[in-house]
Amino acid sequence: MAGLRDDAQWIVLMGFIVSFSLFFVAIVINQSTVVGQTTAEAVIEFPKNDIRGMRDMIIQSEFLTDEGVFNNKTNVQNDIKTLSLHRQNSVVSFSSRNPTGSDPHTYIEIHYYNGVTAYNETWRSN
Amino acid sequence: MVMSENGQLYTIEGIAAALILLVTAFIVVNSTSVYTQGDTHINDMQLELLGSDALSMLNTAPNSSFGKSPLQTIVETDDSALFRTLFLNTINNTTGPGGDRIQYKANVTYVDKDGFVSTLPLSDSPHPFVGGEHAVRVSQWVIVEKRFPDCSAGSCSGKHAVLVEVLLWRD
Amino acid sequence: MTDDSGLMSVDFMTGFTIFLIAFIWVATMVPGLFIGLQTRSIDYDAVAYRTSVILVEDPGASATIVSNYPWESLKDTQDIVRLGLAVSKDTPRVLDQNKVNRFFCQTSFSYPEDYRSRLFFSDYPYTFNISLKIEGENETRTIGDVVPSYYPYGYIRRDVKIKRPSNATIGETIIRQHNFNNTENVTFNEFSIVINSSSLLTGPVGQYPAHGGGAVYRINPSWDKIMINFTDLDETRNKIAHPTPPTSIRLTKVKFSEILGTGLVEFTPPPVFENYTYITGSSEAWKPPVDIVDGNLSLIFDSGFFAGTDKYGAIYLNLTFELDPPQQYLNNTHTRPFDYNYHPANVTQPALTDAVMEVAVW
Repeated sequence: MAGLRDDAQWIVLMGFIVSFSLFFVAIVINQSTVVGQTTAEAVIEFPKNDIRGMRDMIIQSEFLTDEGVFNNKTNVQNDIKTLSLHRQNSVVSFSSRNPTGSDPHTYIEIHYYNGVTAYNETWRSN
Repeated sequence: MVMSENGQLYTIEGIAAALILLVTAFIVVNSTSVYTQGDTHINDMQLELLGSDALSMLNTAPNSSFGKSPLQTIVETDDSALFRTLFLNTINNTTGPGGDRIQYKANVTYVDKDGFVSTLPLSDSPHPFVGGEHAVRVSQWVIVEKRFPDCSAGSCSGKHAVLVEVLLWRD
Repeated sequence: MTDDSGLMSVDFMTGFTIFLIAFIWVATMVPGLFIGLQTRSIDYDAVAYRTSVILVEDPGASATIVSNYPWESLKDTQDIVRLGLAVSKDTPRVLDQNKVNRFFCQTSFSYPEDYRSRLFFSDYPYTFNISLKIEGENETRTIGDVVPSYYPYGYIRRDVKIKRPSNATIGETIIRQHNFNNTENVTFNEFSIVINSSSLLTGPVGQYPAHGGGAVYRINPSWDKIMINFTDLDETRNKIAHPTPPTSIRLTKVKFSEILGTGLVEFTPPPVFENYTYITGSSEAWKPPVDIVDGNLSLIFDSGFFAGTDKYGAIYLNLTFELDPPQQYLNNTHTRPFDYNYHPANVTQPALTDAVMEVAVW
């Protein structure tokens, strides 16, 4: 040290100890709170209910029919796309394949994307 | 000022010590991002989860002979009072004595005949929403057979997918 | 000039000023540091949330060797891997009544170890309280310790429905309606019941079309508990021709078979379920043959009884009643088998009751 004096070095030492212990305490506290923080935010940010809801709607709409003046299937499917885009900020698209002679199942391709979370599924009727 | 050749080392030492202190303080403060209950959105998460549970329960009939859930019937008949009773009972129910005190404001959002998104008020809790509350929004899809206000032709009645949207807060 | 004492003030002032600025800056941040110490419950809230999701949105799991059977049907707790209460993965928030009963059964699981390893999945020994209030029940069901009043804990509340399993009561009305009594006097009267798994699982449910949102009301024969009660069996006799009842009426055998490919193949239910017959005056279950004393009989097939059958096939139950001396009795050899289906006149359909669940963790 510049002063060339040997006494009072414990002040420097204490300074080091205090600053380092503060640093480690900070890291520990940081870790413990981050667990809860990320979980709650992840729960809010992941659109589990939106995806479940739109998936249910798409499957139900597939089995509606346009009868007479009521364009039930067309209306409901357009509603799903429009409302998802405007109220849930998500792009939803889907297409279906009807049963054929060799394959008795109906298939629906479902796509969902809200800028953060993407969900894709090929649903098969049982 | 008369320059001295000796003392400069003291100044440099002082500045160096100050810098070390500053750097330490900076690292310490930087590494602790402290979260409080409010920051972590835990209350929001709990309220949102409970709200979507309650809406989903309202959208489930007690057995298969009804064909329509209470929520579908409420939207089709604009039964604001029934929604209030059922929703408040469900969402404020607790396992212990006494209930919770969650308030709500519910809207029905639908696509009108020109393809624009419109909203109709459905129901309000006893304490109306004034705007200062810290509210969360939950929604539930339902398919209803209903003719909305702007609809005149028969082709725009029939079945529609609508969103029942509810703002929730505790007062 | 070699005296450096005059430099002290400048040196001291520079250092001290920078130190003070830094000190004040740090000091203003210190209160923020310690707020973190009071929010220990943040982590507990996350655990409470996770636990509630496992309980409410997951059907639970059995060990690999018994994965065909729902966990609530397993007697040995070692075979249970995860405790979920939902009816199925596709029906979140709808809880199975049998699972709920088994879960809150204090004699079936030991608190807290059995729950910690099958519900919390953590090295940290969480203490918890899970309570469930079902609409119409006076008692709140609860498991765990008393919720602390003086320190924070993690908490979550869920609104759910409880699904009561279906059951059928074959009584006088149904017997008359379907002509379920024989016109000849025979020793062995045969009565058959069909459980068409395929149409129960894929067909329309009550007022709901096949994919129209009725999934929560479905009867799944390979997982659900199925109850068939018989009442007024005495009325199936011809009381005018034979005023006195036979000296012995006995259910000698119940034959189980299922359609595999094109043929009817007999199947043997798992040995743990072999006692499924209940008669009046006895709280225990019996294995046929049993004597019918007052015309009442119940067959209760616990969840998992039909787990080994083809999910998209059909199950046939053939009941043989032995009468001595021969008389008319419950018999549908000349008519059609009784169909366990979604018709409310035949079968009391699954019903959903409101309930609320709270999970507290600390």
